[in-house]
Amino acid sequence: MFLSVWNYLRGYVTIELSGFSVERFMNLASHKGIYLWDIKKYKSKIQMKVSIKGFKLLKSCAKKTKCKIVIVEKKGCPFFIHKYRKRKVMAAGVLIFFGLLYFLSSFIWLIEIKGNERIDTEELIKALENYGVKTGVLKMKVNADEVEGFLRDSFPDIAWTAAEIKGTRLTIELTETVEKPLIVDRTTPCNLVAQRTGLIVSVTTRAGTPKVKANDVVKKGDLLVSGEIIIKDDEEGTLKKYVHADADVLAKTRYELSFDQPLYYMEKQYTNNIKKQHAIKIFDKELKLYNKEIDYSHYDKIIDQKQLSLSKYFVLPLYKITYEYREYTPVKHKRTIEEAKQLAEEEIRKKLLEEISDRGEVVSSEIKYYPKEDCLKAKAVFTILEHIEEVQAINREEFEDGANRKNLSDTN
Amino acid sequence: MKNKKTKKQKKEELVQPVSLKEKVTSMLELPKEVVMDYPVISMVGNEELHIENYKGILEYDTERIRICTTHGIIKVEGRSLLLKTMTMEEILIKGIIIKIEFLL
Repeated sequence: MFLSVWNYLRGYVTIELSGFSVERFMNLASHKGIYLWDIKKYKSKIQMKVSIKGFKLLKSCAKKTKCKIVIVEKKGCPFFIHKYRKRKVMAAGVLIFFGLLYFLSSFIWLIEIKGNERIDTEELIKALENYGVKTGVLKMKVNADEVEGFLRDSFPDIAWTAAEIKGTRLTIELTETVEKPLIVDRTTPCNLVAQRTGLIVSVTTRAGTPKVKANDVVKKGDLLVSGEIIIKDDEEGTLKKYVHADADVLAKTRYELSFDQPLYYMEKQYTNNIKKQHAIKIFDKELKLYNKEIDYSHYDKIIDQKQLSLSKYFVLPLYKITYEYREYTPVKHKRTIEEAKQLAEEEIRKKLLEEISDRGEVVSSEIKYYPKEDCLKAKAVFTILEHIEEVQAINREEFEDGANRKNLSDTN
Repeated sequence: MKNKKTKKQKKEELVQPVSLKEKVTSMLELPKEVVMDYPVISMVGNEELHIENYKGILEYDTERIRICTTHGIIKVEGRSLLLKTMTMEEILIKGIIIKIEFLL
């Protein structure tokens, strides 16, 4: 297999020998180092194959042995090229093909990012684009090491990156840092204020001076626990100390939520009428292969985009796009009140969970329904038991003022 | 009588002398095809015959091929025989081989 391909590339001649001492001719040829192959007898004459170079040397052998050489067939690349030597346009086409191949392979046509979990891929791609690395950029201009450094510098969450250019594909692999645990700085003095309006159920103070007690009603932003501790208060003055207030303040809060559940809903009934349209996208230009009129009044459009590539590493700036249009007829359905109520309750509970997440627990709930013409209005009131404390730094001036006073009192 | 026999043996040895080269090669167990230029013949089934260290071909036909070697003439008989390759050192015969004969 391999040998025959090699012979084809070098070019060979099939010759026919006739004469009395054909064997002598073959011996002579092989002693001269001429490679002969596929020697066979064909109608009292002997056919054999010989390379172009060998054929030129054969003439002297033929003269010596008085054999007659007739060329039967010329095969191989050199003959092929010789045959088409005058077809300049074809030669130009071949040249242009290889030139284009080389030209296109000197760009980056695909950027692949692997290993990111917290960082958005789009964000990374945007950052890279601003840096100057995007699809269609010259490979020469992209320095993999610099790209790595840029990514590490601009995203503190990236611990390690590896950028690699293979063919026309830029692969960026990265590892994210382990998420930092929330460290509460206990050295800065602060107050605790109410996050929401509510009725205090219990106050457990670990640091600071509590300003509210159970059964107090607080508004949002009210001071719950102060970071200011008065150590001494007499004629000489007040001695104050500022701490990082820390307390659990449980309170009952009220959540009012409403939701409109429509009674009618549409259902897509597919008619099995599907129209497909193909298109080719080169860079950003889209070329529809043939126009089809979509005469459906209601349809789903499904877009399937694929990037073409010559090999795994040679991705082309060509996209094959398939549009699929699926016709459907909308059918109107009506829900019963019971169904609507159930759906509305589910929806409201979902909304509530979004707001309180897992901070609090539901103490009581009340949902009222008001049926209307085309929808069911649901109004819910929840009472939630939750932590309402929120850290708020103590005003710097006030704090420094206090500190100075403390110093003063100390010196006194 | 005994003496006479030994003399006869000696005479036979003189008629077919074993060369020093051959003695040395058999003593040192050197490959004969290298030192003595013997032909190396290998076959694949009865379809391929490969001969190294040949001198030249004497006759070629689809039914019979005679090849000259240092060890005499090798006659190959068979059907639809053809010479697949032919270079200075080796020759490859393809076809259905029926008989190989050494003509010393």
